Amino acid sequence: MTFHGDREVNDIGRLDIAAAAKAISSKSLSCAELTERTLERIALVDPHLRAYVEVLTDEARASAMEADAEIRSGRYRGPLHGIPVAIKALYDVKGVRTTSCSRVRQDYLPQADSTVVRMLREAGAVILGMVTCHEFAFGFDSVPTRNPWNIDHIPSGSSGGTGAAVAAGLCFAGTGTDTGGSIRAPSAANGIAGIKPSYGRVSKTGVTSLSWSLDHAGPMAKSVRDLAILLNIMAGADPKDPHTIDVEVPDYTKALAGDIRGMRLGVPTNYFFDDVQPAVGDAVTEAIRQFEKLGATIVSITIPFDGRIMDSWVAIAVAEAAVYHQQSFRGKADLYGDDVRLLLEAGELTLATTYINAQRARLSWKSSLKKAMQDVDVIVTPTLPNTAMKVGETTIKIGSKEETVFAVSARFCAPFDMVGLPAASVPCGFAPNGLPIGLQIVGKPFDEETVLKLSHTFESNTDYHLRRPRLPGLVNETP
Amino acid sequence: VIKKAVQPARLDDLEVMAGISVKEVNKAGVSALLLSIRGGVLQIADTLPIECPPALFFDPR
Repeated sequence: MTFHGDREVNDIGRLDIAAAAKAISSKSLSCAELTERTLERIALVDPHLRAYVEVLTDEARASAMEADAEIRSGRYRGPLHGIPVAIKALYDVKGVRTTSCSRVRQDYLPQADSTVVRMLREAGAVILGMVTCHEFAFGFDSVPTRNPWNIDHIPSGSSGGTGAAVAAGLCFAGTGTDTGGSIRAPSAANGIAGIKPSYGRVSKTGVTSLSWSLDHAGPMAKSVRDLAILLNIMAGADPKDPHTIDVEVPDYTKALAGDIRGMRLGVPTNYFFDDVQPAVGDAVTEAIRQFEKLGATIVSITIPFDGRIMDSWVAIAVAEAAVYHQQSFRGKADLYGDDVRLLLEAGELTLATTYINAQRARLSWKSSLKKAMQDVDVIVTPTLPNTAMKVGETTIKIGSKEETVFAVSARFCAPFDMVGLPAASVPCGFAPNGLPIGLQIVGKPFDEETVLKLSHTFESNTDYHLRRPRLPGLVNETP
Repeated sequence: VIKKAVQPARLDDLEVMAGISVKEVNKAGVSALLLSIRGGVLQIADTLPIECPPALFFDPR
């Protein structure tokens, strides 16, 4: 494989989309070379990480060659042209088994692409393959995938395959879904950037549902700049998806420019800093100081959340999931994993009044949070209270509090699925055990621009997102 | 206002009504989850005015 003198280009694992696009558009790198090098990385590393359910080697090569032919003929589609991306196994890809990582869906062969996959293809992206998730996205373990920073740890989830694959350079970006934190939690756990856009911003047509009223689709990538590029492609109302909302989509890459002087960051005095690992608390506190140094105003605010918001979230998620799975559950209950089966069983038995009251409580929280955010542009919190848990651990004790993997992983993320606000996670440090820590930045409805701007500014003034894990299978690569 | 949550001992009745069979090893977990969510949700719901409707089509704005 030959590259053309650009040192950055030679190190595929370090390239982000923006840099690769520059090399492709200037013809110093071909789409075929980029895809081939990424496939080589997958062959070396993925046997250790197991991020891919299926690698579409032949299809990816063909797409990359087609992308090169288009460029030769003078048609350059934009920054995703020829960029290899991975698809969470919940998104329909025409003619490719889309299993939702469940035995229930082993033979499901979609007849059409999901809207997001279609948009990515139209933008010129090369679909590399399907990556793992927790079964039906209903959990945070993402078995059998491992965390590239330490393969004794989980990549979190449910978009754990996307998180691990992006962090290891086994794709340039990927798709995620987020119902209770499934984009942000694996972004934090794997040291990458991810954004859950506002509810209704990105189409979910052709994406297997976990909970209709809580599900969000969004991108995960190596940098915030890449998230902006991806969101430019993915965002927008979809006539096929009644949950999308027709709000104008700006150019998110333009929002990254300029400084953040005078912007107001709300730092919660309650809930979001309770029971966090010391390294996480320290890293997030330092990140807030960094924002202050950059000219932002830090404002202490009280958030109207307590642990009961999680009860409402669970009531809605299990009830809606049980409806989605009702038919197949009656005939195939034994094919579901025990953890998912328990949640679906609870959903079947949840009273209608509990579900409706949870939806009433949700509106009340939305309204209270709106008031709490009146005088700030965003809220900043830790994405997770902890770093990635060890494989096989089912509970974690932080301070005096012992929680399940599910509870600890959803605690800081799920409230923002309940209120539908845009929320990103960006790397903000590393714990003494070498595992990444994520900072959550939450904006007002449909104001992804401000979230991305602050995330990008933080990223531009720190180097956490530039660090790479020492990968099994690539012993000679410098982290 | 009924403040008492569903009791685990009544799980069998609920299963019959729903037409499903909760896996034996899950019974304690399902009961605990139902108790927890009904209790937590009711605590909030009891404070809401009855005019506060559910969000059937959610709009974050």
